[in-house]
Amino acid sequence: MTVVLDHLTIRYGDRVAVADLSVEFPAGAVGLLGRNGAGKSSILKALLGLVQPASGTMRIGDLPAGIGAAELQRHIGYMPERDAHLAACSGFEMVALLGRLGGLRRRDAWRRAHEVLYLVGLGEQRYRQVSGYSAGMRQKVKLAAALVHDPALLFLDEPTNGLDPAGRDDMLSLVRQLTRELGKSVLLSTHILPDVEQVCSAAVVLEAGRVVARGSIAELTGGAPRRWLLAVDGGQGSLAAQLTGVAELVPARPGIVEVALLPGQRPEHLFERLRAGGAVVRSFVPQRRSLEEVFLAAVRAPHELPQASPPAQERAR
Amino acid sequence: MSSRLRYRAEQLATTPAWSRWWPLVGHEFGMLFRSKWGIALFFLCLFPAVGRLVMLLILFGVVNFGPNLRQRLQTRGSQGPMAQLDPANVEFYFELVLSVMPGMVFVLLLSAFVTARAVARDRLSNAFELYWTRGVTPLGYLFAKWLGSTFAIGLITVAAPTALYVAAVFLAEDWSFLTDTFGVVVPGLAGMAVATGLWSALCVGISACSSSPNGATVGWSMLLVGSSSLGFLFAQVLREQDLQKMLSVWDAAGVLARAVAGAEPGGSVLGAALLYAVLLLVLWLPGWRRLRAGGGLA
Repeated sequence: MTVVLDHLTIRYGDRVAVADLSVEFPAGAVGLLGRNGAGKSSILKALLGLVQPASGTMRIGDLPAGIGAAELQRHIGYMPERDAHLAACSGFEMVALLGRLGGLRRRDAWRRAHEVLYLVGLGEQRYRQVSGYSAGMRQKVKLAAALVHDPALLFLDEPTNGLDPAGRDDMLSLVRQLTRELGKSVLLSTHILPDVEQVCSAAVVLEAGRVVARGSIAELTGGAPRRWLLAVDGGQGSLAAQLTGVAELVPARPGIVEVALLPGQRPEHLFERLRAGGAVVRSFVPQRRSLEEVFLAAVRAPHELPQASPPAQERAR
Repeated sequence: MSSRLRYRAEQLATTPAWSRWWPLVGHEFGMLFRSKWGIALFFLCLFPAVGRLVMLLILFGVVNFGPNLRQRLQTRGSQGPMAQLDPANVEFYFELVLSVMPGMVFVLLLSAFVTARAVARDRLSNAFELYWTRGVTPLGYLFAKWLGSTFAIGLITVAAPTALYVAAVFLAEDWSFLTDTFGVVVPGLAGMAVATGLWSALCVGISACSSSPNGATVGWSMLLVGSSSLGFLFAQVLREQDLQKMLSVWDAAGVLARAVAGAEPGGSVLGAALLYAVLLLVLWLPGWRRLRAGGGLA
């Protein structure tokens, strides 16, 4: 389910939280990145129908424009960032009640509460009080509550917040399962950039209510790699001489050089030269920019970073 | 044995958006029975009704605790100040609820430890974000909390007297008891339902304005007991008994309940209505605004 924002502006009184934002979130898992106050939460609130945009339009999949917040929320599952639960309720009671509030009939809500709690791995603990759950279990029960009414689109706000490494892996595996096996679209708002790299196919970086970078993770981190770490054994003459006209070399570590392909050259050309020179390749590791580097570059100098994707309004057409 | 439980995508029938708050009513009503303390409190609050039931059994001769007890109760029941001991008199049921003891004490116990915490408890657990993103509006939420709380308190203020009346009807010698009392007692029960709704509305309003469940419990207790004490003090000092009915939240609800029941209100109906109108406005409006802000709606 795609989400398209077209010239969206959100104000809180005189303060502009999101300014004339046009962007498309494709189906699948998309990371929504930005510093505190960048406008991420405002966008999620607007999409959930909780705040009214000052101007612009939003389109969620094929849902007709102008439907009410309650109907909109029927198609969206929201997992809040903060620890949120219903007091004095077991995991099952909480998820079932939220399913009924989401529009399910009692019988369906009960059945699906069992199902989603098993899906997130709380099947055995579903009758325990949520207040007694660990941090990881609380995150999982929030995810179950977001899923219970079977929405096509999920907004996950910092889903790995406060989790230990094992819990984080569990949560990311669940998100991957939701997108890849169950066909859900996920909008993942987080500060933990490796999470986005692990589960998302695309990302949008916001700064002060504006998009400063967007595109697939591969595009944002440099597309097809042009730099590698190379280690070879043997060969006639120096490595630099062998690769003249194919790549530039920079010593990286003892026995390892960083090679940057020259324009028009491909890795196959490099291998042919090395084979001809009698060198044996021990390792050849692609070097990409991490999403963290992309993010920092984008938020520090937003105007200098090229947009990886065409403008949203063009895509939407 | 294999489990057929598995997650699947499916098209599910949905309930209308306007009815989404209804499960919340049941949830709030059920809060009373979710802990052993709540259940214990509920049974404790039923004690006065159980006492009245024993009295009924004695009055109708079902149990006999001695040769003179029934006669003494019947004699007292026919006299003015003790009219509440006559099951045919609506005061028999009113007194159970609208008196300071046992009525106010037990309603205070139940409402302070269950109802007054309703909204503040959800604020503490950040539940608003979960509610507002599921089609529940702050106003619908407040309404649901109020209705659920009214049903919960109504168990001892309406359901228990109703059960007593039904018991009296079946214990009576003939159906003339029903025909003679129906037109008086049923409006009386309606009056008690109104009083319960008013107390519950104030209680939920305080809860919506409070930051913590304990704060809401203290606030509601202070309002109920404090206004009664203040009313009593002013009434004594100024020698104006009506002041008690106008200043006391508890007594003002009693005045309105009696007015609804068609009985002698015992105070100014306008004054009582005005007191509740002001209090509800003062508590519900900021409570509602705070709910909107608390759940990220502002």
